[in-house]
Amino acid sequence: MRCLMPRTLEEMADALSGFTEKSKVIAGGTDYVIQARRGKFDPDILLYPGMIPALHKVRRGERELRVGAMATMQEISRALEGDPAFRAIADAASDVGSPQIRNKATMAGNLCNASPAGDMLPVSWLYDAEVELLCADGSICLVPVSEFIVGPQKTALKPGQAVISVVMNCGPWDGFISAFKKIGSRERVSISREGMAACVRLGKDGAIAQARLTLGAVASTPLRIPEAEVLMEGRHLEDGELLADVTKVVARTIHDHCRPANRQYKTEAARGLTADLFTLLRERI
Amino acid sequence: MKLIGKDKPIHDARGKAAGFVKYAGDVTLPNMAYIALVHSTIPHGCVKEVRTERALGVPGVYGVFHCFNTTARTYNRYRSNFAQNLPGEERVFTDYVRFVGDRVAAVAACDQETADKAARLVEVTYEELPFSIGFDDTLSGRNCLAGERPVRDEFFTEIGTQPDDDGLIEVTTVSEMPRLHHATMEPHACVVDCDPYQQQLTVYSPNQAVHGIRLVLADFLEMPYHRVRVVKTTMGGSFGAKQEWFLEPAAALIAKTLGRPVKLVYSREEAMVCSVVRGAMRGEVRSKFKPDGTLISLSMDVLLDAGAYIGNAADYIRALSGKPFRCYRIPYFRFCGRVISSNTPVSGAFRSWSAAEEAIMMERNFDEAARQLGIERIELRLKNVLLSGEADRKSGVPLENIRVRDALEQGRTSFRWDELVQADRAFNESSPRYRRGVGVGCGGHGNTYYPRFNDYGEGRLGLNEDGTVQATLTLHDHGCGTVTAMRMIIAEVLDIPDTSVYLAEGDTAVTPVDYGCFASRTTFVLGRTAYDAATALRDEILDRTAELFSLTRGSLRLENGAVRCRDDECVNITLEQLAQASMLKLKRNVCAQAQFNNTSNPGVTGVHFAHVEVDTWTGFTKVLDYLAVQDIGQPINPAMCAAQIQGAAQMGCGAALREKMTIGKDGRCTESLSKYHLFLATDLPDIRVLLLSDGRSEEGPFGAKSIGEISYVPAAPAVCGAVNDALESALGTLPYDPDCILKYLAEERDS
Amino acid sequence: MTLHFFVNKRPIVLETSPDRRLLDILREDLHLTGVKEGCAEGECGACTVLLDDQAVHACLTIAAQLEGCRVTTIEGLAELGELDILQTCFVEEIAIQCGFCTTGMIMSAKALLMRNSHPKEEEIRLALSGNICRCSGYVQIVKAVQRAAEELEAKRTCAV
Repeated sequence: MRCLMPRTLEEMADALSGFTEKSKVIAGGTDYVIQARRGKFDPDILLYPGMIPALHKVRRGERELRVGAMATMQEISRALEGDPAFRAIADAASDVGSPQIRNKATMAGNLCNASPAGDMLPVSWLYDAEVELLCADGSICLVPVSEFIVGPQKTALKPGQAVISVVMNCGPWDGFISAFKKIGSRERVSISREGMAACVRLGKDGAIAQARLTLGAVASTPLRIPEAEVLMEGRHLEDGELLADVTKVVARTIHDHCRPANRQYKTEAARGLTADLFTLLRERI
Repeated sequence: MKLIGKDKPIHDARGKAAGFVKYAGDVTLPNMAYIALVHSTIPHGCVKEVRTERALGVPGVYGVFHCFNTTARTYNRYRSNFAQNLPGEERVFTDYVRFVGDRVAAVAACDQETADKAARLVEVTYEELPFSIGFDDTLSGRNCLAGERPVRDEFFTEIGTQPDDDGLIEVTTVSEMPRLHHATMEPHACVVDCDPYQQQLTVYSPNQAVHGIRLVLADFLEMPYHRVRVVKTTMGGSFGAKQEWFLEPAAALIAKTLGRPVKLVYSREEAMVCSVVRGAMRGEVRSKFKPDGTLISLSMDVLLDAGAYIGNAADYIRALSGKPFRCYRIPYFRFCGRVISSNTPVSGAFRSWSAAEEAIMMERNFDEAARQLGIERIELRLKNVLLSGEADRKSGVPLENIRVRDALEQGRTSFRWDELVQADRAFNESSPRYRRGVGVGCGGHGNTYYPRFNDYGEGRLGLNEDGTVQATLTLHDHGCGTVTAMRMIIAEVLDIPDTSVYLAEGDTAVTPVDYGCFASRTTFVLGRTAYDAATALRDEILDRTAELFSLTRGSLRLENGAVRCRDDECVNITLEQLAQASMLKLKRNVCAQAQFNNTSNPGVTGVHFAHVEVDTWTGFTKVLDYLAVQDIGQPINPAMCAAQIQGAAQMGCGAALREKMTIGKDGRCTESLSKYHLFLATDLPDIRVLLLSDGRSEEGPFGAKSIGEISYVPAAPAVCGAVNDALESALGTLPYDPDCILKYLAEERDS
Repeated sequence: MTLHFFVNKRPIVLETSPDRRLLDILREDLHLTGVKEGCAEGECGACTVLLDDQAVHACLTIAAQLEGCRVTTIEGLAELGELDILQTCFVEEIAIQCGFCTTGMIMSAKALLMRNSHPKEEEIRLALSGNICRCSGYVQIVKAVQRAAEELEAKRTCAV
């Protein structure tokens, strides 16, 4: 096994040019090491881009939010916890695994692992995130996350390509507040059984002008819930009936998409999940 | 008392804090081989072929061992003393696999990585057979083991005369408890050294019975006992997981065959699947009460899934039948226990040896009875718990100063039970989402094997040249501070600092033959042995001083590590002076031995209280407050007792709310801590502990009783009771995890 | 690959495979057995060490990720029989039983105290949420960290 540790994006592109089907890029390694030890992969080349300083940054500009491929969950949550529009990402990052995991795991790694239970999936779907890929020829391209993740543990990544950042446009989310909430098997340090992300923009009257909801860990990739989004428009977050109406739609969506083994629990728990998410949003008005 | 009742860290705390203390997995010997095991991937079948060419081709592999090149002799993993009449049940490498995880082969290699790699290259061909994954399969007649009946063992007992049913209220509850993982943080490990020239094996492992391992290995390998030396290493927790032998025979066989030291360390997956689990249990309890709440009759029908080997299951189910008598007054008792087999991980010892399961069944029945009778839950228990002076009706042994009644009453006050009941009622009326409730769990246990065996202990003490004390007892500290406790007992008697006592742990080459540290006998039996040995040494010290210095024996006393004389204040003979004088002038060491024959087993009980909040929208339960009241007698080291009790509460919260090992349709068992959810620091409140020391034992050292197992018994029942109180439910299947709770609430809503 | 990194402030140069776990490098190559393996999948926290002052799992970190990094293990806290304040508090508060989780637990607490000198109980519990202890109910462990924070604060105040 060869190990490549490029210091610049140019060196990284060079490194990628030698990639085969078996070659791997490793970021935090928290999923990689477990799977490699189970014999899932035995790479010929292991590329670690941690020596490229730019990839560790979380940059929030006027136009875009750019989360570098090596930024850890801990760094992401710290960078975005005061950012109402992207607070949902901070919520999700701050509840991934344990402190030790959050000190290593990355958003890019979570997306590349493409587990349906990955918490970065529903938040990436929420903002129509794009994945920035570096190719072996040095070119860079952007792929919408919904095209990047094609199924459980499956991405559109080709040999010789690597994720260098996750990019979100800021414009559409100007003035939004957001939140993410998940239910696992215990309060902390748990894999999501279901997770929901929301962002809403309130009008001058305090009513919801625009809303977006995504649901993770239910289907193989996150689900948008347009029916609930429409329901929310023009109503207030404090409206108890709105919560009941949205819960019904969320529960039905879960019921229709979930595997039978977990269907009853996940459907029933929609009520608590939705209520908690609304509570977070209300606190952030 | 200067030491007894004081808080002391565990003897090796500093080394543990520094990362200096070595566990078996940390030991490396020159020329050592590392072992990786190959386990069955199918739940039931015959091994047709083992192909080893590819594994043997890996550089650094010393050998591949399997059923076709190793002995067909068998041993019993549960055996730990010579008087147990147990059939050999297991081969080291089997040709007939009984569960996913059964040992099929092993690779020994120059390092762990090589061994693991080669183990993956061992190719095993099976002929698959039909299998059972539990009660339903086995009882429906699915044949899971060749030549065995579905019910492998049946046990019936009856005590008292069946009462006339007139006017009695019958309460029936059914409980089902899943398999549990001990989750010791240190997975099982052992190192075996081999001296082929002296035909000597030395085994280093964290275990609860060095002599148990010795006799199993020596008999299995057809070696004389003195040629097998077993040394207990620092133990990273046991809870019963390290008292049955499944690593040591394989490691010893390979060490002996290769003539070199070997190391075998389980992965977490192996520790979960291939060691022992607490077996799944299903039980029906039918109780009959007078309208005033007096229990008249108790009938229990209990099913235990032994898993793939019967191991301890026959004894385990029999032990269960005695547990109710350690806490409650039961005029008539009928018990039927049945043990079934299945193609699942092997059931074995688990903290409390069935008392925890018994308490879950009993306490659920009491809660239900309280509801049906309209009697407050604590009142109902107060009416039926055993009192000081009563006896264990099953064994006939006096319970001495059993203080379960005091524990109930003091706990009720300290926990503010009655106020909480009121407050919860108001809270539940006002909260659409959360529901609160309180629960109480009562339980009793023992302190020794007595009267099942005539329990005893042997201890030897001697003075070193500098007056420090060398103690020899067969002790196995599980990590709960029994070495410290023994040192405190000895030092208290001799009036010296506890740090002046050196105590080696179990080592068959050095320490006396002993049953091992289980059955909560360590403090009670070995502690008393240490006390007796210390008393004998004190007498010896005074005798020798009188002789050497021509003083009147009756005027001498030990004080602050020196012999003082009532008649002459100037006499101040240090233990160092005495030890040296004895060697030089009397030509003998100052030493003493004690054999303690134990003939009592007092009542030791605990009452735990839990206050919980159930989120009815997600099914999560939060433990808001927890109080453990333990009728402990004289606590030797209260802070270590409290720490152990809090651990028991953590474990009980887990059993009540989360922990379960599930068996898939393919026979595969939960094999990762990512799917077996233990309680974390963020999940628990500040667990409060109240030690009741009035109920002193007659035989225990300074009146001490046991704590390790009894502290676990009432934990899960208290939490289960609180959840059922919150939901006004009577949930039968544990754990009360979010799935279970939301399923129940949905059924309630839909009916 | 040739790996250059620092362990307990000591520069280390090691010829190793890029996918070798930090856990194995520490335990087998450097004989630092205070780092424990409890699950090998980042669930139990027994292998917690500091990587550039952040708590991480040595079982999920591989050589390829270590070039130029600073690793601190439990052995880096004590010197020749002298425990540091945090270790001493674990001993004195009776926060140690079987000891297998202790070293990882102390390293997580160390990481917390390095960036938060006045942690609230809730913050301590959260910082330790990746470390499982099966012997205790975490009560004494939390107290030990609280006391260590107080003593470190007192020491700082004295120094000023």
